[in-house]
Amino acid sequence: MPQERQTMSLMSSLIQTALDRSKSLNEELLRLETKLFPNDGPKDLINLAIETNGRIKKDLSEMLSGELLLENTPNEEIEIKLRAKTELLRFLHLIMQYVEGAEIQYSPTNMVFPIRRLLMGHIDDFEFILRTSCVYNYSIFNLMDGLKVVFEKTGYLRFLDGFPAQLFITDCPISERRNIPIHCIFAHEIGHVLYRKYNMSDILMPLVSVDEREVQQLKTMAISHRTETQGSGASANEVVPEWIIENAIRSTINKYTWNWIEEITSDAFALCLLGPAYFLAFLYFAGPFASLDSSSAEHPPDRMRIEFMCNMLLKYKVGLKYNAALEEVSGSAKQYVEQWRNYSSRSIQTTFGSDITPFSVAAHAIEPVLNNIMTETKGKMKRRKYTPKRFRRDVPVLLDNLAHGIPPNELTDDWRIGEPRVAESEAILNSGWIYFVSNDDRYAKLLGSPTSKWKTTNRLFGLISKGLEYSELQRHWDRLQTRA
Amino acid sequence: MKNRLDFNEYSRLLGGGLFADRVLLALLKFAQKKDLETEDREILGQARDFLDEVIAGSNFSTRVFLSYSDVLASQAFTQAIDATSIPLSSKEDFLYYIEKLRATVERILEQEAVGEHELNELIKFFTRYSRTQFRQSNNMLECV
Repeated sequence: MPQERQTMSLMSSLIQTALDRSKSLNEELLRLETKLFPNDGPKDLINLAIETNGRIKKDLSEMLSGELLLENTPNEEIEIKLRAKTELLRFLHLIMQYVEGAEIQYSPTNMVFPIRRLLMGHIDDFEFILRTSCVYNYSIFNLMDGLKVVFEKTGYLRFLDGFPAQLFITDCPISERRNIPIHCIFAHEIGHVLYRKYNMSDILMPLVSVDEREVQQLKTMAISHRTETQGSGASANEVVPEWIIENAIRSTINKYTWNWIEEITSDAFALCLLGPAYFLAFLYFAGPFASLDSSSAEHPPDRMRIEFMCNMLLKYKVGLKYNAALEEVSGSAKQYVEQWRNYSSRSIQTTFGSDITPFSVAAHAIEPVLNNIMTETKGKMKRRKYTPKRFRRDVPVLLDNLAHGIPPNELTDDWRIGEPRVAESEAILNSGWIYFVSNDDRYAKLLGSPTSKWKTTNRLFGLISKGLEYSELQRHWDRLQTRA
Repeated sequence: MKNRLDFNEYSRLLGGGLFADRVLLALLKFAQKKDLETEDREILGQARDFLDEVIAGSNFSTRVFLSYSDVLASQAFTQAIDATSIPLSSKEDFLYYIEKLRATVERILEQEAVGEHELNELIKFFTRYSRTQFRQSNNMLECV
């Protein structure tokens, strides 16, 4: 067979193989379509993948059937066109992982409605996928950002027409799926969404100021380290140029300040959304695993975050002013928060001392902006904040319910004449956490003979979960009655 | 807290590789036919914008990133360094090289004469850029 025909035959078989892969993916997508999910987000994503894959199949079939065109097209061109299809096939495989763990039996379904309500206060046209995974962490991201980039570069952008403008993928650890109160951490993930929605980087980043002397110190240290490791005998081609070292230092510090400001602001939004419940859930979930003074590219040290949150909860002028409300509702809970404030105070000095590292430079740069974060997030939340007033109004009654083993799903403001009022999710979660950290042992005694702390905690979490579930049922029932 | 696969970062790198492929396709067609279709003209316009972003990302001012476009420009600058096939003894040399590439794209779009050497340099740059973007996106999958 002449050389050109051999190559053409090879190209055809590559396209045929890609077509077979598309058919194989289609079978898997049809299997996923049969699963049950608690909301529409996963089904929307599966349908998008089915439609897009269908189009890829059609395009590959056309490439294969146009033999004359193939013969007259340079091989590099065929390779590039084929790569656009196969990379998109691989991409569709990848995005299918985000429906795993979202099925009804795995997802923390009691949180679907509360999360939707929290988002609806701020975001239009969205869907979300609430899933569990084997990573011991909470996370969120907007899948649409990545979908738009890849679909556009491969020429399939029109398949996103009619798709929700935002599709949030939010994960929690699979082992904690039934421990509903811990899922207050989702408020921090929603904080990330609000950070982007309100363009907080435009407001806050101009306030950040990096100390140029510290940058020059880092550069000097890096250049001296280069000379030590590469030796004076290294040739000009082997030595890393100074300007590349400086670029690496500056872009690293910039990356840290950019990410850390977002993390702390997300904490601030979470406190606005859920009040003390978020802070207490954070301590419970992250505390045992935190190395309080470790930083990463993504996160500031936990000590810094805890100090910030204590200040935001308790400060009178710039903060959320929970000082008096906490004292009134539960003195022991207030004491607990104060203990953490004392433990984390002067966090930057405790964590970094006199060391100059990219982390310490970033921390010093963002420290002056922390009060601005409090005031700006409060400003964006306006009347949609959870407030000390609502906390004072509802939590004491719900605390009493919990002490007596009653799910905290409703309140009656006036027993003589009043109809029960459905409790807000925020109040239910706050009552759960306040009860948990207080010294109230009435519920434990109710459970009978000496019970392990683990069992009491589990039963308490179950009661809170029931509270959320019953309150949602009551809301649905009220809506049906109103319509009737 | 970020997802264990930074999906958006992976998509950005993959998108960068796919974009470079489309630029290459347009350049290869131009090399053969010495003419551009509308679609090819559009993608070369995006290539010119990308090279402008690389030049903008070289700004060593003392300010931090003020906006997401600053973040993108800085990333474009760093990634273009990896795609360069000339010795990088100074930032000025590197910027001169990028500006020459941009000037070549501009001349193609203006339908002016372009030398074979200049066209080959452009093809070489985007070929390397495509490969580094695909390699980095694949590396992210291997780490998960």
